[in-house]
Amino acid sequence: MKRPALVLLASFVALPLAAPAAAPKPFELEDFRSTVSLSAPHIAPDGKHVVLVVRRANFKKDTYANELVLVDTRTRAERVLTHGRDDVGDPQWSPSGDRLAFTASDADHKAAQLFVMPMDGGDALRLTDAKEEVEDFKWRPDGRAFAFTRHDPAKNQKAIDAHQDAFDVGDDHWATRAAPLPVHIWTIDAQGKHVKRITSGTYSVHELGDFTHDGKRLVYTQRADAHFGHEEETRIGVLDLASGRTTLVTPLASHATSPNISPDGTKLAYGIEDPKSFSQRDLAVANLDGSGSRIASAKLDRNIQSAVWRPDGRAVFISANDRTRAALFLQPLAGAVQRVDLRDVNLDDAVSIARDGTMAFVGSTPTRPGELYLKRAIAAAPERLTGYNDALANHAIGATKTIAWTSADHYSLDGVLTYPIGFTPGKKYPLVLEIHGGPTDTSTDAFSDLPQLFASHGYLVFQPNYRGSDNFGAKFAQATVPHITSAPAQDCMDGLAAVEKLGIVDTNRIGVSGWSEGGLMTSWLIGHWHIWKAAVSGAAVNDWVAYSALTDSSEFTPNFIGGSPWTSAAQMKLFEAESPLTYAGNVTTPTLILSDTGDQRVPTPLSYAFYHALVSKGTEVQFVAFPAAGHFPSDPVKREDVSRRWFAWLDSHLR
Amino acid sequence: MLGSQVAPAGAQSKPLAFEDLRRVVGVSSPQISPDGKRVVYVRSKIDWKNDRNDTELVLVDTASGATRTLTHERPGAFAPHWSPTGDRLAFESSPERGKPAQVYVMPMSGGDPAKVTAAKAGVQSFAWRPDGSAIAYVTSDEPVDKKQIDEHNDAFVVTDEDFLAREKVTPSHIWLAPVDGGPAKRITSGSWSIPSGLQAAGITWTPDGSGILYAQQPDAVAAHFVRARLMLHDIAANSDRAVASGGVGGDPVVSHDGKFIALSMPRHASPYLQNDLHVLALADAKEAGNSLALDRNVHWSSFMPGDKTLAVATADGVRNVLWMQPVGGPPKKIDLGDVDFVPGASLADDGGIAFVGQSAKAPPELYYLAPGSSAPRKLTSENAWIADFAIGKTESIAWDVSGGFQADGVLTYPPGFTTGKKYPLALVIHGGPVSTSTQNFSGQAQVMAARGMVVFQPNYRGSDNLGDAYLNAIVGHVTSGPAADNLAGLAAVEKLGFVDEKNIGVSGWSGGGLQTSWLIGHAHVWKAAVSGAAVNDWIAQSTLADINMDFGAAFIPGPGPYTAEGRKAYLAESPITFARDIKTPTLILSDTGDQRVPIVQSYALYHALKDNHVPVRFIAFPRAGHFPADPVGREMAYRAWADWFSEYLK
Repeated sequence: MKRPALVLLASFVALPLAAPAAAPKPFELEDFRSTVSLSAPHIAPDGKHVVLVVRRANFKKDTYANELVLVDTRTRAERVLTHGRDDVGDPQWSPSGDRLAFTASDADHKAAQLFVMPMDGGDALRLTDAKEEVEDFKWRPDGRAFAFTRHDPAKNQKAIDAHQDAFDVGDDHWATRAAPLPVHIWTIDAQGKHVKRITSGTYSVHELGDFTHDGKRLVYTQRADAHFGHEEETRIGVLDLASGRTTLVTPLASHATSPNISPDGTKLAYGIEDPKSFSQRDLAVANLDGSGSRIASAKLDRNIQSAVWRPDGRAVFISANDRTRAALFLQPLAGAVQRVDLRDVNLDDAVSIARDGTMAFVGSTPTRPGELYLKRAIAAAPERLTGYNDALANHAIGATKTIAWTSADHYSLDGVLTYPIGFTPGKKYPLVLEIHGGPTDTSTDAFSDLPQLFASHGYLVFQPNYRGSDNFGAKFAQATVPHITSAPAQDCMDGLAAVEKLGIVDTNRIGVSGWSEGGLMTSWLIGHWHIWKAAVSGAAVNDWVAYSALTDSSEFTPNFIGGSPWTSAAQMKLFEAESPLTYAGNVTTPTLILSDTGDQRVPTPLSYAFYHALVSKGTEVQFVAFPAAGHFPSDPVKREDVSRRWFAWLDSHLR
Repeated sequence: MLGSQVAPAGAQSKPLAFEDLRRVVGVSSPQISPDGKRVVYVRSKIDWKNDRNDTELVLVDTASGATRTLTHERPGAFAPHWSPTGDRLAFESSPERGKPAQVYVMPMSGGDPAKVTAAKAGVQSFAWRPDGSAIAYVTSDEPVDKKQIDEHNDAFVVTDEDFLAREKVTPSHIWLAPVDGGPAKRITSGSWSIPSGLQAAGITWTPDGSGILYAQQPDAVAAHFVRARLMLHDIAANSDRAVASGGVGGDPVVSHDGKFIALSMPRHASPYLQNDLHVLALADAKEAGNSLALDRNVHWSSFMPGDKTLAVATADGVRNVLWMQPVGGPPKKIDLGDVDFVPGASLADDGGIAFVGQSAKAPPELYYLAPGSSAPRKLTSENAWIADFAIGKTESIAWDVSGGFQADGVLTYPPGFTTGKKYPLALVIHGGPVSTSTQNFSGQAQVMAARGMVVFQPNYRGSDNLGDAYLNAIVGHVTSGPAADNLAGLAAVEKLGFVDEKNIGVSGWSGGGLQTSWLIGHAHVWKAAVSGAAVNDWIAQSTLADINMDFGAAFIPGPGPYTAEGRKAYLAESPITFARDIKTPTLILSDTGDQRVPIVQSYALYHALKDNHVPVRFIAFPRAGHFPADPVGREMAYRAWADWFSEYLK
């Protein structure tokens, strides 16, 4: 338990540097409206340009607008490639780099279609023409055709049009209004001719991998049917395009994802994880027929977010969370894994690699939201190419520090502490816990709006990584089973104790908050401890039984509490014992409950239950619903409103 | 006794199928003219292709029975109301399909109807001012934060809304619109509301036109109708006073002389249980007469001419009946033969009554009961087509249940039923639970009977056909009590000797789905089950439904579900608690947008059955409401239900 103290000393030394006297402005919520989001960077094969998606919010229209931007890797000059294509996405260079493919809707197609833009001038050509959107696509290696996927139309479309639209419910979520439809693979040539269905059936294609070099086969993942509850049951198929026949090369028991063929065409790299528990995704490497499969990332022991072959085919770049960073690793097929030095940059997405090994990626630092970076060599420092978020970076930024502690059962844990602007050693500050969701996720020290908003208003913010987070390896990720709530909640409390030991927390003014799994933690913590001045419980898993019946991942959920709650009294008891709702009668903390009305992941009914439980107890509670589908509002106005209410509730009770 | 049930079908009679029921013509909202000479009613026909019910207003001459259609190509004409002198007819209709309904006034001396309201949110209900110069109507307010909502900032604070709420319901208030044109004037305002939506209540003028009686709930949340008070708005003084409180329900009814009001009031503090007819003096709310003389749950009432007697509709045994209830005297049941009396009748100045009636053999028709007569005369033949079909005979059956009660129910036999043969039996259990299966025409039961099943529709404690003691005996045993009654009913039917005991199915919707889910977890005599919109979990029901905490509390008294003791009581009466014991192949049915019995309870039962490897199929209907309201959706639901039994009961 000495390690937190050491961190404490280090932070005291570092802090004055982060709070200069020139007093740049603190944040107000509206400042974040100018945030520019960068994603999907793709470096051209010759490494001279990077194309990426740049997104800005339009608060008046309550929409986001995307554009593709081309960045010159030498001069850093930017050029906007698309105009009026607000939903443009998924840019992919042609194999020779002469064209750019992307998806976007247009005047005649509400659903995104596939386009090809010549990079020597000329209009982009729309290739596909369907009511369904293009879900995924891949260039054929000769650059003359594509494979793409889209949903099948309903088999009973005629009956549906005649209002006979009843459907059989399977492992679907509570807000389902139609039978889910399978996704299948089609091909089309680069002129938009010869569109051809390749696969069909009740199984559903999940994601496309790569073509083999000869363009005759395609690797992809599929699941047995279209029900989302079976999403954790994907297998890798090798599709022979001429015959339409698929050979499945991974077993059902290994949830296989994201297959990539090595540059020499001989090997397959893919993610595998055990669908029977919360666990991490490891990197497997196998021959193209699935033989010789082995875990290549055993030593790394982290949850793989993405894996990209090095051009020589002898190593794979892996992005994974590690402690409080979103990090990049280089995993040779033979040899020890090494962490790639990104300085203070957290990786936001997969890296994109040119033929000469130049890497492009979007990353965030503790003091600046996502920008485009280039790394010209493995030993070179990352170069920032863009400055889209200069305005935000010029505000006063609360400093962040990693806090580490050890659990009673000997797990190492950590979390991120954000200091208030103008932090003065010796003074005490109110503290807000902001607990991440997932649980397979990690709070890193990357710039984050809400902690910075609190920091601007004099709060410490603590974002603990608890067991189940994906920053400390498989054993740590799985340590939640079957005590899926109580064990991580104890970790959060241990983390809080470590922060309190710093001596800077006003312990009469502590708030707790989180969304999703973070909401679960919040609802649990207020039912078990009475140290909180206020709480914000967003989209919280308040009841594991109801969750198992209603969520879109209904098949998967019972596995991490040891099996279905309806099969035995003991299982039911365990589910109830790990549900915050069971202890809602103990809650005395003033609580703000937030939820989307159409949340298919953590169903809104779970928030209704917690609300009524607190009302019946007489606890101060407000329940605000956002009329939107999805697990979190996807439009800028409501996203901002979530932050506004979250901040206001805690601020009004902690101030 | 059994021999009497043999009803040999005519040689040409065809068996009834679901597609035949598309021909059923709806007859509703009868309105008799003040002079008693004409009746207007709403005729509803199925437009199968467009999956909707098309309505029109029809005029009938009470003497000759001659009919004339009054409206043409008006989307959804409904709610006809004669002007006080009978010279005009007001009704509601949408200016265009899909637009909110407005009030129109049609001169009965010829001429186009004029639209007299322009309520943005549409008209919920309306009433003629007694002088015939204006119409008072109810419409909902614009949201107070409309500007913010228009800017997409549409988050809202949830209190007792249902789980599908996507906005705050705004209060409903009274407006006054002159019938000769001119702008409408707001009469009431505030954060309180007139009950709207599914529990909507009408408004009533006092005969002298000085005031309007209306129900008022503390806010616009639908569940809070249980806290409604009856108010009187004084037009001249622009003031409101409470006349009665405690969850008053239904449209306020006022006597012709303006001195008395008739209203239904809960006997046990909750309008979800029995509601008795009370006659109160309007001036001081003093009770007139002996209100509890008629011990039945009141569905409708109206003062007869002279104000000494009320016409009252209730269920009674296996019939919906009409009573004459003298103020302060004993009630007298009117013998209507085999005609079931549909609540919502209309009285002429001379006491003539126009009503919709239903026999066991045919869908509804319009009837007329002349002053002083007890023999109703059928005025329409909208459903004469049914004569071409073989209709199964219905019969009532009674049996003893605990508590000293005698429960009853309705049996429907297959046409051509033969004594000595064994038949599969399908239980079709009604919902509510405060409701009654009567011997009226049931298309569903008839089609199932045509497929060769005997259909048994039991009434059970909680049903509203035998009085308060029986209805109230459900309290504290909301599921287990009725289930025991239903099993006793099954035993009584089995004693009749025709039941193939290996082929018994159990089914129901809503409260009937609750019974089904419970019965398959507690008895193993079933070959198959259909559990529609079932209350599988009383805690989820009390948390998520539009009628939420107060509904659960009415039937499961004591501390609420979010206390340790209350939770135990709620779980003890919830089918989901016993789902592990279910072995019966089960079809689960639900609307995706059912706010009354949230579909989430069907998801729970589905997963429980699937995880225990019990044969289960779950069909959802993507539409709002507690049961599909569109003809295609309705037929899909009934067909899936019958097909499941046809597949298993052989």
